[in-house]
Amino acid sequence: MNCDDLRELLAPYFDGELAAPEQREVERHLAACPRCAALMAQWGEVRTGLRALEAPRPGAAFAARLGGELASVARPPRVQLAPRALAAGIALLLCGGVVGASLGALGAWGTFSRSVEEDLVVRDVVAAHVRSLLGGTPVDVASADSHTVKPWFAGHLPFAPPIENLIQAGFELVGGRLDYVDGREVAAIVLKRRRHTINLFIWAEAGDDIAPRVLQDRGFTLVSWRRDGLAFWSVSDMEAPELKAFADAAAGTPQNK
Amino acid sequence: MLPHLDAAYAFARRLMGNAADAEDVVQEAYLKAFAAFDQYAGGSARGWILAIVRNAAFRALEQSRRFAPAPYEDGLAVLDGASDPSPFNAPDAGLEAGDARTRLEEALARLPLIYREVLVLRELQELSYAEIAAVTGTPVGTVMSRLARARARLVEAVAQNGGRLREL
Repeated sequence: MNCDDLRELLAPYFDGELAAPEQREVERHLAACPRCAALMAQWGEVRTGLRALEAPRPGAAFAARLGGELASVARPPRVQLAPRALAAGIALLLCGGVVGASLGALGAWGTFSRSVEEDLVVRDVVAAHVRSLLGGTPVDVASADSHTVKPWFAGHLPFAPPIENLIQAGFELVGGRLDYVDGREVAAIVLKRRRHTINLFIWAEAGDDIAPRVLQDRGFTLVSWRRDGLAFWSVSDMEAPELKAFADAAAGTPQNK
Repeated sequence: MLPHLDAAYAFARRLMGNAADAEDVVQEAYLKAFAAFDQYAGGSARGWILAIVRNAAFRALEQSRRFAPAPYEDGLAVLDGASDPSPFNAPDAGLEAGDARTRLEEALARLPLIYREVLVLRELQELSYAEIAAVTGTPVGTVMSRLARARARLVEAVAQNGGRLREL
C-alpha cells in the first residue's frame, strides 16, 4: 500500500474510526513510511495544542439571563399534561445526569409533594417574577402610594388588591402591573425590602381562607395564602422566614387553619 | 447551570469569533431547542444542542456576510496581510508556550468555517465522525476529508508564522 492509497485512511486512523484490519494496515504503512509517520506526529501536535487551549466559558451573567429567558417561555400551557411531560423530558434528557437548575425550571425537581396544578402555579409565579426582574421596568404604574396603585388596578381587574397592611409593615411599594399567571390576568404588586424585590400576585379564587405557607422553587422563596376570595402568591429571593413575615403582615392577623 | 451550556457556548464562540455574537447564537439555540423539543429524535442531547447552535451560527454569519463587504470566505487570505499587528506575524525564536498557544488560537480562528467547525467538534468537543456528520449535516466522508484539510492548514499556518507546535 502506498501513500496515495492510504491518504483517505489517515484521518479515520488518527481519530480511531477504523476497523481493526484497516487499523493494522495503516500501522504497517506508518512503520515503513517516515513521511506519513511525520504527518501523524504533526496531527498529534495539533491535537495536543488545541486541547491545551483554554475553552471559552459562558459568563455567569449570561448564563443567568439565559436561564431567566427559558423560565419565562416555560409558562404554564392551557393544555397541561403533554407539555409538562415534555418539559420533564427535556430536562432529563438535556441534563445528561446533571440536574440543571434552570432547565430544572421545566421539570420541577424536589417538588413531588406538590400537586400538578400547584406546581404549574409555582412555576408560573417564579417565571413571572424572573421576567419582571429581567424586564428592567417591572411596573405599569409606578408609585409608592397605595392610593395611586389601587385605583389603577380597579380599572383593570374586578377586585382591589389589599396592600395597605404591607406598607404599614414597612415594605416599600414600587408599583403594580398586570401579569399573567396560570392562564389568567392577575394583579402583580412590586415591593422592596432593603435590596430584595418582592412580587406579590393576586387573583380572585373561590374557597376557604388558607394560612400562609412557604414553598421553595429554584432558589426562590414563595409564600402563598388565600383570604376573602383572593389568592396571594408572593415570591422573592429573600430567606423563607423573612418572606413569611411579609406574608403574615400582608395577611393581617395570622390565621390558623 | 443549563445542560451542555459550556459545550454550546465554547462551540459558538469558536464559530462566531467573539463573545457577544456567541451569546446571541447560544440564546437563540436554547430557545429554539426548548420550543422544538418534540422534534428531538433521541440520541446524543449534546449533539442535538450543538447542531442547533451550529445552524444558528451559520444563519447569523450568513446574515452578517450579507451586510459586510469583507468576505469571511477564506480565513487564510488574512495571513497574507503584512499589516496584521497580531503576534501571529511576529516570528520570535524565544516564544513562551503562552505565545504559541495564542498563535494556535489565531490560526484556528482564521481557518475557513467549514474546516474550523469539524476540527473543533472533533478535537475540542471530541465527537465521533457520525456525531460530527449529524451536527454539520454533511456525509461522514466529507467530515473525514475536511478534518484532514483542516489539520493540514493548521500545521501550515503555524509553521508559516515561525511557530512550532512542539512548543505548545
